[in-house]
Amino acid sequence: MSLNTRLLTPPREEEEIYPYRRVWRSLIIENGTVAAAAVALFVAFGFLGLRLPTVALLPVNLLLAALPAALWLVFSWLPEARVPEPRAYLMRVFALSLLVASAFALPLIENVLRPETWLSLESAVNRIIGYTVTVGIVQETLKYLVLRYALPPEALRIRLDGVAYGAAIAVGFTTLFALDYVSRHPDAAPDAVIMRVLALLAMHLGGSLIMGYGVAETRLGEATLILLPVTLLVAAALHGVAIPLRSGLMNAQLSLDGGITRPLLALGFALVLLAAPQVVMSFFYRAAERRAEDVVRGQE
Amino acid sequence: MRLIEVRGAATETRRQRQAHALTLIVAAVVLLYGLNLRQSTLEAVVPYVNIQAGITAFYPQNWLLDTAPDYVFRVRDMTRRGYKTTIQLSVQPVSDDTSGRNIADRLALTRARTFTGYSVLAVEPYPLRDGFSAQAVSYTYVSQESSPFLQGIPVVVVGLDIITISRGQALVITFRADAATYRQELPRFEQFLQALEF
Amino acid sequence: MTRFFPRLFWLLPVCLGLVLALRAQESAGVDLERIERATVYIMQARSENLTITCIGSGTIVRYDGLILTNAHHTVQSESCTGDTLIIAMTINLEEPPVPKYRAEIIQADIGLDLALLRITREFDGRPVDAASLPVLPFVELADSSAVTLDETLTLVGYPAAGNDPVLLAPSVVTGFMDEPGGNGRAWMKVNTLIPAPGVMSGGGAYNRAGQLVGIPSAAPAGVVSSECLLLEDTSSDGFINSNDTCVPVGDFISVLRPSNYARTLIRGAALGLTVQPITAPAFQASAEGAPAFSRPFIAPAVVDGLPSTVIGSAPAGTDSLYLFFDYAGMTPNTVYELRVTVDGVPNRVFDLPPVRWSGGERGLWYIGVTGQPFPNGVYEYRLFINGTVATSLTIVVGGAATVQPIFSNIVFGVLDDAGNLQGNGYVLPAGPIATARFVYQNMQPGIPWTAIWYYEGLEIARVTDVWREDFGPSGTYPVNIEPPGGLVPGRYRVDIGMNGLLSLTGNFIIAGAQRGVALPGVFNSIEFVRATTPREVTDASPASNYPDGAEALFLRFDWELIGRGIPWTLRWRIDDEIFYEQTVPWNSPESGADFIVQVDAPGRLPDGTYTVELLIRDILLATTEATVGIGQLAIDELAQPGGAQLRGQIIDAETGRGLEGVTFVLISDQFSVGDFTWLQEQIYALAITDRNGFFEIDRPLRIGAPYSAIIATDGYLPVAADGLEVAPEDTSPIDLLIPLTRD
Repeated sequence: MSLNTRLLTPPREEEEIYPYRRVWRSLIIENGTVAAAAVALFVAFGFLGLRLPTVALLPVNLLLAALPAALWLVFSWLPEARVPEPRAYLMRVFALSLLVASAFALPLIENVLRPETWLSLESAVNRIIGYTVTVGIVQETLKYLVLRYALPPEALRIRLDGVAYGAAIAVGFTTLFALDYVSRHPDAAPDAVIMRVLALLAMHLGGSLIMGYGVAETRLGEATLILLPVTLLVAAALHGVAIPLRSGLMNAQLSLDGGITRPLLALGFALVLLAAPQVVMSFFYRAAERRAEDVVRGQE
Repeated sequence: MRLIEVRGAATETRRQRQAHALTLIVAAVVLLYGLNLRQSTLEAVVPYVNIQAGITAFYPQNWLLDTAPDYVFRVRDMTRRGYKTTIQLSVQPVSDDTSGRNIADRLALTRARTFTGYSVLAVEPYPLRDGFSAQAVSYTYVSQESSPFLQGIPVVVVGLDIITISRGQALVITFRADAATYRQELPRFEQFLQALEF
Repeated sequence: MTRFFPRLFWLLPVCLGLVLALRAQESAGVDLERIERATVYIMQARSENLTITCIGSGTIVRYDGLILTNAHHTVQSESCTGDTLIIAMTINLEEPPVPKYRAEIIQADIGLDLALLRITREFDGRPVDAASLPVLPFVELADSSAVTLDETLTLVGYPAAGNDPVLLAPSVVTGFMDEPGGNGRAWMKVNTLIPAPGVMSGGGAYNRAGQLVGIPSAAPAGVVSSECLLLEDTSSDGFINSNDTCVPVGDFISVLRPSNYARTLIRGAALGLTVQPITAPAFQASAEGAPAFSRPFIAPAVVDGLPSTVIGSAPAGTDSLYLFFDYAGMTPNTVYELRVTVDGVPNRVFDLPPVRWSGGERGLWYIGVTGQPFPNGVYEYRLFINGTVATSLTIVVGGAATVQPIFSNIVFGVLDDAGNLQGNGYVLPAGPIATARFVYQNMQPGIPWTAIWYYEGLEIARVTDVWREDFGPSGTYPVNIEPPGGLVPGRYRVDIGMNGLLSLTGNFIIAGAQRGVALPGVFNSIEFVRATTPREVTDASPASNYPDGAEALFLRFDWELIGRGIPWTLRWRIDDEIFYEQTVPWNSPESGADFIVQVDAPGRLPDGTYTVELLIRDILLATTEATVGIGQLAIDELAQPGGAQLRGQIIDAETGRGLEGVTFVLISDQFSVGDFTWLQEQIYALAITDRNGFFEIDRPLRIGAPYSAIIATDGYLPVAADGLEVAPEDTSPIDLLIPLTRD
């Protein structure tokens, strides 16, 4: 098949059977569950003072780190088998993103870039720029490379495939970084772990949705040359803004009564960060779809 | 809702390929900029001028500067966890007969009294810029928390003294860092030496 | 030894309870924790194998590690043979002390049983780097003359051989004992609610404001107390038995040496000033013969160091009695003790437990109390030297006051042509004649009286007469001494008796050439010179102003007609505060020139106005003054007591774990976080967290000063704040918990 043999199937809408897994629905379920878990643990540990025995911390934290991956498996990957047109490369992309994050992203960030050693004393603007052009660009470029090279061109059939594969990559990166965090802080409080997981998921999902949009639009639409680089920069900037802003919101205020952190602000920020890119990107995806429909109608 | 599906698009258009290429170029450029930003931030320096001692130096930004009778100045990286990486510059009077090696021996004898586990690792020539020759004395010792009320764990420190004699005085430029990060930190000292004017 | 442990067995639980009760004092604003931390446990040990030889307590009195303690367990002696002092400190308040440093004695007065130590080495023997020594918690000295009878004090020290935490023992002041030079209170007697073991000796006694008023002093171990502890197998024979060194411990604490005695020592040590006579002694002073007391008598009061009169009984209602006695052969290592029984029953109120001898080798001494009601009864005073009775005296207190003839208030001088007594009272110039004038009251004609004159203890003249009617019943009467060949330099005494009994006694010193009628020219040409070495002093020009500073100053003076062994006092002041005072026997030739004394300090002498006073019998005979630098001492902010201590823990906000090696920067109140450019002069204090994330700002924060702080470390967002201000009602220490957030 080639692009010249593009088939347009215009069944009557009332009879149409949607052949793909509904991506947004899965995302809402998965992210909603993680968000609910974060809120629940925050209340239980932060407000109600629940404490776990030390021996239970590591297993619980590992479970929390793996929660996005588990939810993705249940609500995204398994349902693919039950639809007429499954996305065959989901598991491959997920696994590859884990490997890429482990082999490149993590070592690059923690051993080479080490932003914490030179950015922590900088101004807010410099921190945003610094994180964008280092941590952000590295991670989003790697995600782009996975999308670009792990998927055969025919794997992107509809624009929402970009969302589905982007989400798989985001979950892979989130899982790897969450596991790394737990391995370095096995005795961290579960509420801190789930908040870290939530923030990671929000950042990576937001970035992946933007990157997925750029790749899908480049592949399927009539995108300009600069759309893809721009989406890469925007996705990187999302990390650049999110990392300093989240920690800045949470950072302690010092007085002679001691330092008081503001985890509630950090939680609220993570929830907004999780929801906002999805809302915005769903608008972009729909707009793109509408543009494509208009083009088809014009051709008809 | 209409479903717009693309089947069998095994190849990319030229525009798509160009977009991908441009993306990679942009990524590379931004990353290079990031690395450059990192390097320039890490290597940011602050000038120090001491007219009386005839010394101009550039020390790392955000390092704590202090002066004392024992040395002309000292800078420490107070944001570093554990042992605070230190660069120190001191001057000592010398006679016509004093050599860099004499100064090195005197330093070793003095420090052996005050530093736990002090041991000289090597004494070797060290070329400075502008043709100055110097002695480099590398040594190690154990640094311990000084407050008696805290539970400090001793840290193994590696030090490097660059000793040169100029205009009738010995200049001792000292670098000390945690043994675990010594090599990683050494370039900063080399950068300091490169910019030092005396 | 066998008595010691059973005492401790019941003592310790009681102590624990009292410690808890004393914590309530903290609510009254007393920083008990600071006091406890400033209290150190001192182990004297042999340097070759660190075998402990003596133990005691001490108190840090200055931020740079000056420790005030007793001399008897720190200065090397027969019973304390060690040559190294190990300082253990309280790290956790509920736990025993931990060895941290070594110290050296920088000043000691064995007689006063006071020693001032300075921390000079780390525990492992390395010299302490003065720049890296933290600002140590220290206590403030109170004016011990303000302590009142029945005042509650808290004794602080270590109760056992390093096994227990610092102990706070409440006590009540039960009386004051006076001795020469004591200004009414050479010793403060206390009654502790629980027995305070001898190991607490050298610690501190604190008033309600938390200021040091006295130093608990137990009997020097090994002299009159045989208690000791076998702590280790010093003979290495595998057993701890009589072959091993027994560490002596003193008896329970019942007296305090007032802290005012220590002020001079601390002042000199704090400034690093050392006073050293350069002129070598021509004779060696040594105690001759065995120590002995003799000629005890009782006086109701002391006037200028002499008995106002001599009495054989005292009326009911007496509240002041002094026991006078002659002493000879005494040394600072001699231990003396006074025991008093009333009608045969020991009375602890008037006792003085065994203490070191703080007088010279021989002379007239007194010990007594004033302002303390004496119940009626027969008082037997028994004086002990090194645990053996040396002399005793009995006096009856009771009955109505009767009118009796008395002699009192003797002074010495030279009569001028008009018959007036001239002179300073107790130091007269060499000449042909001296006069003793005394007050007489209620005299009747015909009463036989005698005046016996002594020179250096030997009788040289005697006048025996009966009281004549024309003298009248009351007035003053002069008695002359005019020996053949004149009065030669030395110590003179006159005993005036009535009806065959001693009624009055007094002594004076002949020294110096006659200036005018009766003023002695003892010290002449006293002046300051600046020189590099003592050799240059003789030829150097004197001056009184050294605006460009000095590395050392030398005092130079000539002297005339000072008898061997005459006690003279050299007193140095800086900005009117005494930093050195020493009374020693004169051991140079009778007359001479260029007696040289050097004062120096590490580096340069501190700026200030230096004053030297030369005295004999507390009479100022010569003085001079010189200004160095700006003529005024620089203000040492660190030495100011008070303020609040700041400490806390820095943790990871997500894990709750303490963060090691994080720097807490407390910025001076002159700067804000925004102004801070990482310059040391902008910093008030720095602290670095330990392995558990704990930190301590070693300098106390001034009340009301708006500090700023910044905590910045790799991997975490910096935390900063301006306007950190300690309110007067804030309790010290202030504990902070500071969570740091990762990116």
